[in-house]
Amino acid sequence: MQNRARSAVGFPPHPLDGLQFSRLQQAVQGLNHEQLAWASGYLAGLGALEPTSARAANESPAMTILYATQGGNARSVAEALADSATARGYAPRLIAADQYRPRDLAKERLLVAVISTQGEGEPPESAHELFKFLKSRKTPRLDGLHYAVFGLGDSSYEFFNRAAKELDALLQATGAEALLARIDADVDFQPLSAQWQTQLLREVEKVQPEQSRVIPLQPAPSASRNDRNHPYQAELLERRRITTADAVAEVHHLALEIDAEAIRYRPGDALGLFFRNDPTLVEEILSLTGLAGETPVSRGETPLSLEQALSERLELTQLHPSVAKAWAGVAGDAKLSALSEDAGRLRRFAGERQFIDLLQAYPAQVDADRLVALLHSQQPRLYSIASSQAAYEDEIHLTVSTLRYQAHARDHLGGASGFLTRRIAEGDKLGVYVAENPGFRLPQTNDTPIIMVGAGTGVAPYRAFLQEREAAGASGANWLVFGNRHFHRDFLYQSDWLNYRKQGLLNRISLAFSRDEGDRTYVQARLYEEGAELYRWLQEGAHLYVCGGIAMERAVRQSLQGIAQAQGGLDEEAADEYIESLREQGRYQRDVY
Amino acid sequence: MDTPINPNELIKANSRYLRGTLKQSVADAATGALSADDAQISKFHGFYEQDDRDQRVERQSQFLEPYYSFMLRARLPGGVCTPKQWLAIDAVGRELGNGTIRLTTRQTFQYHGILKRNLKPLIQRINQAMIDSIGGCGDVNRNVLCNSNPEHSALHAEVYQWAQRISEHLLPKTRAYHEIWLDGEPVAGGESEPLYGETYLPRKFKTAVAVPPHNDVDVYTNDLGFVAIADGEKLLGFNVLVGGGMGATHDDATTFPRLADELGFIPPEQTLAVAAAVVSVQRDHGDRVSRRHARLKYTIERMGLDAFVAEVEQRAGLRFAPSRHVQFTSQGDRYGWVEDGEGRWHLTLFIENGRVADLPGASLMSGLREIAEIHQGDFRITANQNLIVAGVPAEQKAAVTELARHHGLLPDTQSPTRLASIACVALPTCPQAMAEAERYFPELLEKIEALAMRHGIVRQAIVMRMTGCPNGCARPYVAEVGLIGKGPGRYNLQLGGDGTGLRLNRLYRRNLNEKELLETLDSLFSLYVANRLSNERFGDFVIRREMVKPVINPAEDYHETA
Ligand code: SRM
Ligand SMILES: Cc1cc2nc3c(=O)[nH]c(=O)nc-3n(C[C@H](O)[C@H](O)[C@H](O)COP(=O)(O)OP(=O)(O)OC[C@H]3O[C@@H](n4cnc5c(N)ncnc54)[C@H](O)[C@@H]3O)c2cc1C
Ligand SMILES: Cc1cc2nc3c(=O)[nH]c(=O)nc-3n(C[C@H](O)[C@H](O)[C@H](O)COP(=O)(O)O)c2cc1C
Ligand code: SF4
Repeated sequence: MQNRARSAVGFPPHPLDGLQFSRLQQAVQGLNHEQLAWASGYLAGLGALEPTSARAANESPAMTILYATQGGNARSVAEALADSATARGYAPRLIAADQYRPRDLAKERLLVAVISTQGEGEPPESAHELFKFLKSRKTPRLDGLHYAVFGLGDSSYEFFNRAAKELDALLQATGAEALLARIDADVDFQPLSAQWQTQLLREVEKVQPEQSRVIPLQPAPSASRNDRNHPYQAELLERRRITTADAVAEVHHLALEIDAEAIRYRPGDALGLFFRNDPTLVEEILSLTGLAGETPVSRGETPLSLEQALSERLELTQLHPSVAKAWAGVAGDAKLSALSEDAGRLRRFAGERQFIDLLQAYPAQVDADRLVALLHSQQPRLYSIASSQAAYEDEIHLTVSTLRYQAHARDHLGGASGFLTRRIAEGDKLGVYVAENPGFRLPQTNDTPIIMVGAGTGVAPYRAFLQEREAAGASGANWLVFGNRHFHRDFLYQSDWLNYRKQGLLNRISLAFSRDEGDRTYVQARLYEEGAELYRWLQEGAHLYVCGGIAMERAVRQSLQGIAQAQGGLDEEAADEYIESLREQGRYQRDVY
Repeated sequence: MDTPINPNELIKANSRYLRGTLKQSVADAATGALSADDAQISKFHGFYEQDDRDQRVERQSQFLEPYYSFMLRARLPGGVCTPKQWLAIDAVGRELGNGTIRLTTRQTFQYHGILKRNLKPLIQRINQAMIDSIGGCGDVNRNVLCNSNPEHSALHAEVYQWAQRISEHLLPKTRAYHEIWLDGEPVAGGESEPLYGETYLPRKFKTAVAVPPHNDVDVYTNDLGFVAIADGEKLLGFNVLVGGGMGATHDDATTFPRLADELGFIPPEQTLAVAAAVVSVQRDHGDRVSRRHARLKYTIERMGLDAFVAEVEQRAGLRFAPSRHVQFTSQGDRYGWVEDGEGRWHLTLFIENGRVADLPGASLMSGLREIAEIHQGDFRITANQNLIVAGVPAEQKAAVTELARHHGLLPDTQSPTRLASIACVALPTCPQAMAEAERYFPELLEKIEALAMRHGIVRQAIVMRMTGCPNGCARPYVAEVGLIGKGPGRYNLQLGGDGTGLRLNRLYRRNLNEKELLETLDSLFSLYVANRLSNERFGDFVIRREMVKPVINPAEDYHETA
């Protein structure tokens, strides 16, 4: 991390990560000499109140806000809380789960955890250690610890907020006392998070009356932060399709222009972005509901027209179960209502529909306000960043596959991917923010070998990895394992890989093109074939990365299991432990979607 | 010698008798191409790396390498194959190639669009049909041409055997081909190439055998030529020719097409000795610095003919008798049915530009397949890219005719000029192409036919040949009208061939686009119609009227323009 802090902004090594650092920079921007002097004193004061685990371990913070995130949502909630807590004079310690030493739990008095759920009901990678610690026998009793859990999830997944629930239960089991009930936030978590903050801080007042107060601080000017709540307006520099016309998958390469001062990202990070819905889709919804586009409605603070709301603010293409359920109420359709009582069926039902399908199948009278209230606000989408700032200081590259499918007698187009690959034009702007992904990072040391496994667009982050390693003159060996349909049609970034190979940067390329040969070969199969080599690399300390669809990730883990058994002569259990230990050492990192 | 020897020479020398790293190159799944060196070595195994030039630019913008594929050229002396072999050739083309078969100007066939992973299966399949591709390309003796005129079948049979023997005799001896493609046992070592040596020849080498009066093989355009001298059906021997070649480079006076010189007459039994001697002289005296000047024709120009002949006689241990008088009357094919001495029938089909494919309106590929299914004689690919169904018993004529007509294989609807004309492959596969040829020539001919129609000469044959570059793969420099690609849509117009392949033509107009070309031909045609002598060929007319000067000695006067 320090390497990067240096390479990012010609500063001596420091413990802040990219975002923290630029936030600090922004916060002190324009301060004169005197102000700076005061600020430094103030910060020193804060520091005194906030012992890091390194120093003054016996002294402990008033409040530790711990977050475990994949896409940055949990982080944004935690940061918002930290800001208002600080504003009220608390000295919260804001820390990412993977930075946190579980053993410090014993010293905590007040722990606030903000955690999302990933995979199939799993905690984010960064919380892995924490969970392991809490589940292990060596967990201490934590009587006297007050805690609160804010969960971020999506009820369209089977295991809604399971990570938060689990964490809650685990803390409970240690004897710790919940300060207030866990929140299981759904996709629309923003409003909940606001309420929860005030509620929580009120409760905190109660348990920690005489509080070591410091001079109130204005929360850092929000506008200066680029996160989900404050997206940066990036310009589309270039877009080109990189699969051939006869390819099934329509994959595009996008280059966005950013201000290198304002936006720092690291290989492995994803980009969160907002989009405008398909105008024709909006049109259809208007005509099906018979509502006028200019009807004024309110969503959030600013009043706007129904059409605006539909195209810019509301989620139309990802039908959420709760929306389907709400619509059942509006439509008063018996079958639909019955269906929405069964969570599982409802989820599947919603999973293969867009709101428009609902409108068509279950037409109903609805007025503009009701419609707007009933729909969720648009969820930003995440895309792995396919470039490194070491190579492209002021650009962000994305690799976007257009989501298209036929269902319910109409063509469906993904909201974001459709926007990115079909609707915006070069020169247009879109709101983006960096979704840090601490769980998917190049090795600290440049001479460590890496194995990069990706299928389809899952290869995107590896382009960033190699650009970074090239710029750093990293000596570690690099092995790319890529899978897709056809060699001639879908070999994403082939010429880049071949150039890197010619340069000697990319030492090994293994490929699985499932539709070329008769028998369909996928990456996991190829991996298994080359198991001996893979195991050798791992024995030599290689880091293994897996990026792509959830199913692929599972399959890869499977063959990894097999390889550990076949090559390492381990039994099943030992093989699991082996993989487990790789994970703990951060040598088996995954980025799945 | 201080001038550096040509890099290709090193590649050959380091290739361990043509093995190179072909195995690894073929196994490398990350690219559809071979390593640069292997792409040179592969030619000796009969295939060229190519890429679809129509897709180059687009794929580059897609972060994709060019669409690489391979062209494989078989070795098929005299162009003869059996119906059974044809069925195999056809199946392979449909399953492992791009779905077409290309009959070439050297009497063999090519597959295009072979993907790297299909190379080995394809080579194995044709070899199962007893056809190989050794020396189909590369710096060795190429496919040996043999007159395919079927009228004198006994003589043809004997001459054809000589063509086969020459081909076998001049074949590289390395086992690399069997080792790499046919899973033959690796050779323990101690391998050698008695004739070629480890750097093989400085350049390609081409041999043809002609049977007068037909010059369908354009024997004078070959490095080495044998002209059969016969008494009726009995072969007496051959006039030996050396130093022919077409390839030239635009505006480079040091390069030129050249017709072969006569060495003299030999009895049949000296054929192989002479062939080997000529090859070995070229091996030792050919230019290994500049590939552009490495063909035998330049070696002879450098050595002087007399010195060359002496060297050959010495190495072959013989003396040439004076050449016998011969006369050639045509260079085109003789279409339709002919009967030979033994009452068997032969049908010459028209395959435009040699492209065997199933196209709307002309299902040539299916047609030939269906004919092959009933045919009991053999097939002969001609040097004019056509196909002869040879040795048909009288009672089967009707059936064959019916199939041929049904699939659009009969010449009868074509104009004589179209039937006498050929074009090379060029775009999109040929990396050397500067302009279209095969894909464009047919439609250009339509416009020329319309002109001929207006001038009332449409029933008369004019030998027209188009190539996409000056390499001359369709032997355009011995055509009455030669069209040589110069750039997209632009051609040099050459005039003055004699219609029998015995006279080189000469550049008449440079760099013409279609409009200019048609205007030029239009005025030439009107002059011709107004002033020709009775049955004077167009090529002879332009010479007599001194529209172009005849080429006397190409080394000196070829690049003078009209
Ligand atoms: C297929 C064919 C043309 C056709 O329409 O039939 C052909 C096609 C090519 N010729 Fe040719 N040549 C073909 C007969 C000829 C002839 C005619 C002949 O041999 O009777 C000539 C002129 C005679 C001569 O050799 O002088 C000919 C002179 C060349 C040359 C120029 C050689 C020279 O001395 O300058 C090249 C380029 C080179 O060798 O560097 C060439 C190279 C090529 C290549 C391989 C292009 C390349 O270098 O990569 C072409 C492949 C195109 C493709 O996509 O198929 N080809 N080539 C003929 C295959 C013959 C065979 O089966 O072996
Ligand atoms: C960390 C991360 C990194 C990512 N990186 C990339 C990347 O690099 N490149 C990339 O292309 N994507 C990437 N994604 C996925 C991306 O975020 C979006 O999910 C994807 O582009 C689809 O979004 P959309 O708005 O176009 O489709 P949406 O409008 O969100 O529509 C998706 C919905 O359509 C429905 N649906 C989908 N397929 C079908 C079907 N066949 N039948 C019926 N219903 C269906 C499902 O309900 C699905 O939820 C990443 C995701 C994450 C979490
Ligand atoms: C790949 C993937 C898997 C997910 N799986 C679940 C799940 O199993 N259960 C759930 O409640 N939410 C799930 N979610 C939804 C996230 O928890 C939700 O988007 C949350 O806002 C993400 O917060 P974060 O950005 O802090 O990671 C998943 C999201 C992604 C991208
Ligand atoms: S003449 Fe030129 S363009 Fe035509 S095939 Fe030969 S090399 Fe290619």
